[in-house]
Amino acid sequence: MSDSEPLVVLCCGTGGVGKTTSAAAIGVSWAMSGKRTCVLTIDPAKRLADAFGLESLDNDPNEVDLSALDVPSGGALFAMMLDRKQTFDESVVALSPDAETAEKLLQNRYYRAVSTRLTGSHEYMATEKLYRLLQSGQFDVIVVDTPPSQHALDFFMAPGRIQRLFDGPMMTRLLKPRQGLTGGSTRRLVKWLLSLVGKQVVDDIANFFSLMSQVSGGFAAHSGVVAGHLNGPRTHVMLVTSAASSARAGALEFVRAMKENDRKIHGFVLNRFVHPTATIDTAAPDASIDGWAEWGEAIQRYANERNAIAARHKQAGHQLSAAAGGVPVWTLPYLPSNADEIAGLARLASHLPPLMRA
Amino acid sequence: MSLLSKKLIFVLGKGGVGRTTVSVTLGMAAARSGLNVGIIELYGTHNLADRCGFKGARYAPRTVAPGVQIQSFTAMDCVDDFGRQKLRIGPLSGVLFKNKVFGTFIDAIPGLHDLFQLGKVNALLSDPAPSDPKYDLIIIDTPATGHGITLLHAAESMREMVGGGLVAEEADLIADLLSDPARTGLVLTTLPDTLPVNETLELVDQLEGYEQHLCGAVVNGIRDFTIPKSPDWSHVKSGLSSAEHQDLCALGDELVTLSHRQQQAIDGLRHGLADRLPTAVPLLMQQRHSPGELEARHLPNLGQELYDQLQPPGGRGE
Repeated sequence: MSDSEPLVVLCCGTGGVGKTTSAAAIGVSWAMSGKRTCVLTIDPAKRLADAFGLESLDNDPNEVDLSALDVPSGGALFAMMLDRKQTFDESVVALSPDAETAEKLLQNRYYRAVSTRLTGSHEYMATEKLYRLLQSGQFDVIVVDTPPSQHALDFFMAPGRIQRLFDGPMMTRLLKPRQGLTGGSTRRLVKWLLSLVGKQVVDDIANFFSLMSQVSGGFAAHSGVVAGHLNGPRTHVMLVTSAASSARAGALEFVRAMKENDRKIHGFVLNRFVHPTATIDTAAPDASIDGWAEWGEAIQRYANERNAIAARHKQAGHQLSAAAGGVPVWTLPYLPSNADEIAGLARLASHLPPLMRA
Repeated sequence: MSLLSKKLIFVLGKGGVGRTTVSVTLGMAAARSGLNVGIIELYGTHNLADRCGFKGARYAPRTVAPGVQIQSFTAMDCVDDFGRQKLRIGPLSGVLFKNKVFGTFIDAIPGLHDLFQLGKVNALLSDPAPSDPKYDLIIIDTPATGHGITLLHAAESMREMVGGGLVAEEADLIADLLSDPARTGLVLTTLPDTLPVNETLELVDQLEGYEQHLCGAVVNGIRDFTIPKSPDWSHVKSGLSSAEHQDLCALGDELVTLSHRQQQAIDGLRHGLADRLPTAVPLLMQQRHSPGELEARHLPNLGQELYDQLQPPGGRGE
């Protein structure tokens, strides 16, 4: 692996921590350090399009207008949103030996369910998309806003699980019992299966796997390349979290799961962090100012509330730092004005350190 | 149509908006009205159990308050009941999930896990086993938005793929329950901020056939940004020396910004819902920000505010 290979920045984390916004800020920060950067988001977030001043995000990179920012030469930002079904369809067409095979797959009822709803297919197609972005040679940095998942390591594990399903002999053995399993218990299982889902589905699935066997080698090659990249030095894993207690629990679970699988986390982003207020004295202004009595009280009440939140966030920060075991933790402040425009993202980006240039 | 006359309520919303808190609050409010309530989380998650003070998830009902029980479902738990009731055989999970070949097969059929779990929910309401609790109302602590919507449509999607068999029959039963707004309702959960509110309205646009099911929205995590009605902040600020009281001025600005932002979000939700739906959906509750989020010790007081709000003016009864 060399430095000329694109850097992939994976933004992981549970839902509701501002992962998409953080990924956007990280993208802006790389663009502002002169890198040609693409942000790939999985969440259908219209707000990200709005923040980037784009009409909408689609399945291919669109350039973001950064003219309002001070971007050095070479720096550019692109954004796109994964369309799972479109990506799947395009790859099936590209990888099929002929148009007829592709068409049969696209029309298969089971394929249509798999390409839109199979658990893990978001991650699988994100991998496929990432493969194409890596191959395009267009970008120095690719920031991936990973899909919300039930299990911490889904982004790393799910593609392989699906690949094994497509490649594995299991389904074929099951669906052609005469060639494979012949025991009485297997026959009973097949009987139950037929009574569960009916013959038509079993036929659809058998057809799907027979067609897929001509295509899955291509998918396997792609996911192999991406898995190699994700395990290599040109991938940074960032864990995005917030100080909310449910998010913290999710973050600690992620840290534990990554450690257990010998995977490295390169940085933590603690989002929407509330800092304490400056020390104030509401008795200081001239009490004769019209309305100050009420406003002074309101401001004091607000300051107390904010400081109480800040104290909890500080504690959460310590807890995260302890769990991080020396890996840097960066805090992105909670901004009173909305962060959902390019200037807001640039403000957030300014809180990220001069980025790692591994 | 009163929320408490439903049999099944899905609490929907994006990740991190407090669906679990709202599910429990709703459950406590319904129990105050004398209903026997089950709150169910799916896919073996244990948020609900954790927040109610239990260690880990469990399929068997656990009582959190009089009239309120929680359960955590996995497809594997639910398929055993399915086998017993529909196939008239012993526990299926052993053969279906633990058998490597069949486990792969079951996992490979999109939506089958959803279907087994929803099937159990349906059975609890329509035909509970002797050992099951008898619930008047089931509240589902639904997975975050994308998956939540998929779940609502799981039965129809299954019917598109599966032509016959017991799974198709089960899907029809589930579709029958879920498509009926008299029995099934949706409660939206959101936060008082621009982005979550916009996303909630986008969610309403994706409901496709479930618009009539909406029976309320809850704004969770409201902060106390009360500001004096008069005089105006700009007026007061102009009387302060900005050099001398820089920090006070900045904090006042921030308070005013946040107060407006929060109020705008709540108004935006109210108007957005009114624009989209012919029958106005009530804003059920403006739940205050609780400092440490929901913990078991908060349970006894939960739901009173919502209970009061759900009572028809002039006392109980339709």
